[in-house]
Amino acid sequence: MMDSEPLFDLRATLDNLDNDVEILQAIAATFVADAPRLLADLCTALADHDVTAAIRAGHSLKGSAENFGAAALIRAVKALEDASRTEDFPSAAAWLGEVDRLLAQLCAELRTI
Amino acid sequence: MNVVIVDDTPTNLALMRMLVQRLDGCQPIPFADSGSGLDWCLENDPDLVIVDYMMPKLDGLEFIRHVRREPRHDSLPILMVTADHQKSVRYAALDEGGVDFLNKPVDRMEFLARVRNMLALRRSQRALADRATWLAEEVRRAVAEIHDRERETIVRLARAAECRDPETGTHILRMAHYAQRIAVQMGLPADFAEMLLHAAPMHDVGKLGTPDHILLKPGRHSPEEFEIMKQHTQIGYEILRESSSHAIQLAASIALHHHEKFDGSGYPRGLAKEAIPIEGRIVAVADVFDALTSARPYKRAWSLDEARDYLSENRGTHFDPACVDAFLAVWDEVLEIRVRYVDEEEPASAPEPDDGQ
Repeated sequence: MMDSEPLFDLRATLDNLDNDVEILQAIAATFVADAPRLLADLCTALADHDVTAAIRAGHSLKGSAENFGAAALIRAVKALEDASRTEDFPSAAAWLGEVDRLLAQLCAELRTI
Repeated sequence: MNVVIVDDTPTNLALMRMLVQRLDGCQPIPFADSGSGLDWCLENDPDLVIVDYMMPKLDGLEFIRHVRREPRHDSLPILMVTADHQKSVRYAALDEGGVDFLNKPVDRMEFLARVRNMLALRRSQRALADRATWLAEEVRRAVAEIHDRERETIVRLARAAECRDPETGTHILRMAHYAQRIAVQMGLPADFAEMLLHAAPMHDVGKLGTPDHILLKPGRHSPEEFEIMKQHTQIGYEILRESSSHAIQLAASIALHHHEKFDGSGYPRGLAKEAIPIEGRIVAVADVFDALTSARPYKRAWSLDEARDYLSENRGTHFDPACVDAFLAVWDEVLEIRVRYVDEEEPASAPEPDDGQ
């Protein structure tokens, strides 16, 4: 992965919110609080080899991360979804590790806002 | 205004909730669970619903379908949140009665503009509905007032006629009620029978035009006097004809025809059988029966049996047999009416044809 790429797009996120920092802080806190559940849903789905559940959990995580322009994380979730669709669960599990890593970093950054 | 937001993703729900909170006069009502959101919508009165498409259990399309099933919500604005590329989902949402869409991820400018538009639509809907309700109530009141005035006019006309007539106010009430009962018994429409009740009291209004020395003469009239007396039918008709009120139109016909006889020997026109309008044939029975059973300065009151026999004997000559049969069939009600409207020692005060029936 290109770790030089920013984890999320703070400028675009704030522009979209008309520089309303209060909203940014509120949704960042919500995302951080929700992240363990989003990740757990993905883990459970992959452990169960449940493609539908994996795609649903991936959709939720992407939908949440899109609000911050977290491009790298979204790409990783998409890759995980694609692997699940072809029932390539070893690849999906590998992408899950990447998702876990990026999500932890993103949460760490969002906590500092 | 109440803006319901249904999205199972906490971050999106928080974002939309806060954006709605920023709008003047808007109260966001967020639901992470679509089932709970639907329950709230069905029990309350939302102004706008924003619903995500992809949700577990109840998805956005099913949600819209359930909301639209509630008749109160047939024009409730609904925005569905979808990713831009989900065209087939958007078409399906339009089919289910969605109004517009929001793109994911939520773009603040687009979100606020669409929400404002939808709320403006809602305000117009409400204003229109309020106005329609107000108008309907105003029309109802105006119509009721016209009816009241119409009845008042009838009552006053009947009072005016009464001033000139030695017959009492209770006679007018009794014969009007008899007429109504006959009409009901004959199977005529209830609203016709009701109108008869209000119109029949005016049957002798033409006596306003009959000279005192004839109208108030005790004892029998000479043939010449009787000719003048007969004119009260035509005079009554002239007073009442061409009214825009259906009740007064009916009263005009009654005034003209209530002295016609079934065999054609009556006056003023000597009409026979069905050529005499039904209201004339009915009132003839009601009027004669009550006149016979009432005391007059020139005659005693006949007994009920005598009056009954008279009707039976003149069934088919003076009276329409169907009207006599109907009258005799409601004999118990006739007796009740006689008890209810008893002549007083003094001539009764103003007749009130509308006795609240």
